[in-house]
Amino acid sequence: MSELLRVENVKVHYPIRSGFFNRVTDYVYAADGVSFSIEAGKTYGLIGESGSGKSTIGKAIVGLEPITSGHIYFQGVDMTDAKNRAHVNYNKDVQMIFQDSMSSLNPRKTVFDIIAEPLRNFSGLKEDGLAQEVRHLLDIVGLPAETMYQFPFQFSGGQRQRIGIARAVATKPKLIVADEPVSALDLSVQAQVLNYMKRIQKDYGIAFLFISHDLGVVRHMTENLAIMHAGRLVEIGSRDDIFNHAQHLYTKRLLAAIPEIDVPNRAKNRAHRKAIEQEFQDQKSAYYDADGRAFPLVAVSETHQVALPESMLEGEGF
Amino acid sequence: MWKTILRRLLIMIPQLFIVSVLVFFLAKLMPGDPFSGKFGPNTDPAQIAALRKAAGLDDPWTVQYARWIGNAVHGNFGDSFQLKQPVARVIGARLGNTVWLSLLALIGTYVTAITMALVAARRENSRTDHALVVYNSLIYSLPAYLFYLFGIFIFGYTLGWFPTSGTVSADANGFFPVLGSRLYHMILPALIVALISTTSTFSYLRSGILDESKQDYVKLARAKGVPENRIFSRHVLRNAFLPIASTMGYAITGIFGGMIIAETIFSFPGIGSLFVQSVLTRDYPVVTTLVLFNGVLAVLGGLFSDIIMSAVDPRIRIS
Amino acid sequence: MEQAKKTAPTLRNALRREFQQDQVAQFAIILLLLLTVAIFVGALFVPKTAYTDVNIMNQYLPPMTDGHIFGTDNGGKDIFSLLVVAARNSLTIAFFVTVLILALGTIGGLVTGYFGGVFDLVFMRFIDFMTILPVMMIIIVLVTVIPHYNMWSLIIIMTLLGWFNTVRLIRARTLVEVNRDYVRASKTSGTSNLKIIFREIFPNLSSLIIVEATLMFAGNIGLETSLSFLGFGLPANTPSLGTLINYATDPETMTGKPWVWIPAAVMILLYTVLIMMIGQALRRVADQRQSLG
Repeated sequence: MSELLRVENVKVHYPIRSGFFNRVTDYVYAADGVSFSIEAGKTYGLIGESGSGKSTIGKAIVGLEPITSGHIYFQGVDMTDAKNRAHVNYNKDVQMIFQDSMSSLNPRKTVFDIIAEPLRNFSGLKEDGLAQEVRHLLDIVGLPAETMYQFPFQFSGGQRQRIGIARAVATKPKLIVADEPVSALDLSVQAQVLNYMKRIQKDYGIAFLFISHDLGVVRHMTENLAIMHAGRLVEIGSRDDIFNHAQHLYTKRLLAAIPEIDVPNRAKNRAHRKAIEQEFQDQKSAYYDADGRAFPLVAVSETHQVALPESMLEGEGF
Repeated sequence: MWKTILRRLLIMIPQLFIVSVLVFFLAKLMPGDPFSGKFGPNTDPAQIAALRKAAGLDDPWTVQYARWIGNAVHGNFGDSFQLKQPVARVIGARLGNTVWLSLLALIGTYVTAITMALVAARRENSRTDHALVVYNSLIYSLPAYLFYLFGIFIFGYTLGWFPTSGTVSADANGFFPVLGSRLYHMILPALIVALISTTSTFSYLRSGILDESKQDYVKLARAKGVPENRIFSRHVLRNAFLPIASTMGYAITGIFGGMIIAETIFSFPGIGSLFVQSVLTRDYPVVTTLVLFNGVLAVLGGLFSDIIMSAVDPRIRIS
Repeated sequence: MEQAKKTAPTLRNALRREFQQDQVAQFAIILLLLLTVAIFVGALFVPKTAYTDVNIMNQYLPPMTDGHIFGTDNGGKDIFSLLVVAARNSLTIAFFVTVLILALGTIGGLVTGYFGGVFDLVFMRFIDFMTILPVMMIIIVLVTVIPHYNMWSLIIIMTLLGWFNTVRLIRARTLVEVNRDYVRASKTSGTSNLKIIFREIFPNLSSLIIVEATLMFAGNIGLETSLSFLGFGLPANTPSLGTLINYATDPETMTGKPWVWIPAAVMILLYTVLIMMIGQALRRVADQRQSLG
């Protein structure tokens, strides 16, 4: 039970400019008060529809997105300020895997230079050591050592994503944020890449924050889940909490949307989905405040937190 | 749209201010003052100093600038050293020539460029298309004065089809002969300027048409059986013309600026050749005024372009 | 695919492949190199007196008389010697202006595009404003009022008034690159901003910069010779292709003694056309690499 990273009431607001003098007239609330914590070596899934702010949170954690307000603590130290992060080589411990493997690898650099980049900056290895380390990393993600001097465009999407994984684990980080790492890949390759990630996570004991819009994928990857909607978290819990005891209306709706190949019960499933959707539309106002924002999270069990209004909590009988 | 235009007008004020300050300091760099040439070598230096002080030349630059810009707004730009006349009158006498020549050249440019672009885009990758593309990159790369020189050399002197200097022949009398003679003097320079200024309009329009033709809405129109000509005129062209409309303001100032060389080679008495002569004869009041004039014109051209853009582009018009 | 695996997508390889396939570009680049070497080596053998000493007796000799291959000008100076020296001067100026503009424009565009923010906003307003100014006029005025005017003054003036479009172009491409994840990956890899700008982003702009450089070089030859043609370019004792062509402003010389100005005009034509041919091949390489990256 050692807390690795804590996100505390993080807000990321983008200004909208308009009007005669191009003044800031409003904000996009990409993340609007998000708090959760990550324990060493455990896996977390952050799930939400596109535009829910899940990628923003991921980028804020690795330091790619300036935070409007709130704090991020890493091993108890405040890392909100970029100066603090640079001071302790924060990114040696917190790495990221990007969604688009093509764009995340510099087309003008060899695989060797790409994987060696974080090592050069953080490990102090010299050229010989670097080559050996890169070879080892390639081996971990199942790529032959000869590929070291090739360029990204010579690989398939799945292979490129494995190069991205090798880069992320190069410095032996304590936390990896994976931002939709397989959603750009063919279904057949997805499982392969996911398996590499899972194995690396176990072997090195790395904590994983797995960001996805796909509950089905996340179910196989993570023990803990957080559901995000419109910039706020609506439910946090273990896999069992979310999949079997979902409390928030939005979570239920997401669950219903997981496609199932269940031909005999097709009509039933469809009716179920429709019923959930109807329920969502009918009761939306009860689960969100007057501004359409989710309520603060309230613990309903040791592992399970839900964004419910107080009135509803009593009724649930917990 | 009105908000956009109003905002654009407000941006113009600092732009004009900066232009005028720049020109003011450029003028300060130039040697000489309003009394240059009025004194002989025997004039008492104390008398000159007194006159300079009386004329305010010893004031701080802010005061001098304020006085200068105040005079300029009232059309008072001082006197030409060479012609001993008000600068405004010197420029006014030649402005008309340049305006007409530019207008003719501008019309010529658009007619040629649009025709070429339509022909090229209708048959993409054909030999005609390639030839037109090569032509347009050639005239873009080659310096303009070579075309003027070879033009005047071939069509003026060798073939003798067109006059090689001036605006009107001395023996033309009556309204129509004079008008005819004026046009005749302008055709060769205007035509050459037009033929070598097509590049940006041509390539914008050609690639615009080609891009639009590949859009899904064109495929849809074709699929539902809209006649090809109608697709082209109603849908493709309308959108492809948008970027051209927005460059019109800049095109006007561009052509005006290009007249410096064209007028010099064709010995055409416009403000372009006036500028060159004035610099060569160190007639600085005229030089300063012409730079200011062109700077203001450029700012207005930018404004004009943006207003056209906001008027034709619904995305700007509506918001 | 097998083919692709063998050759790395380095700029050098892409260029070599393109020029091997494109006979026209190959021819152009060989001719251009030969011509340039000939001019620069030839100019070393032209004594300064050949273009400064006036010899009225030899005024306007037609070509191929008394050993003057292209004849002589109004001062009895050998046109061929003048042409070689003038071409060298014009090419040198165009070269330096191009290099300086590219340096300023690339650094400016990369830095302002990468960091963005208030500086970018103000800087680009400034650039927007400068691009609309009547540059030719301002250059002419500066050339005439600057004290101790020489070749380097001209180079600096042309550079300072000519880099605005390059900044815009490089900034626009930088904005595209900054939003690619490899830049974010470099940030999380602990690479410093300056290294990201010059080691990560810059190589991705190299083909664009090369295309821009060729076109700009041709453009600068045009601008310098235009200024010299009008009499506002190189100082009087430094011949330029433009000053040679300036002889043509006299109708008598234009029609009666074409040998004085035609060689210089042809030289400019030749250079521009050759550069354009090479530029076309380079653009194809750049476009391929654009689609590849």
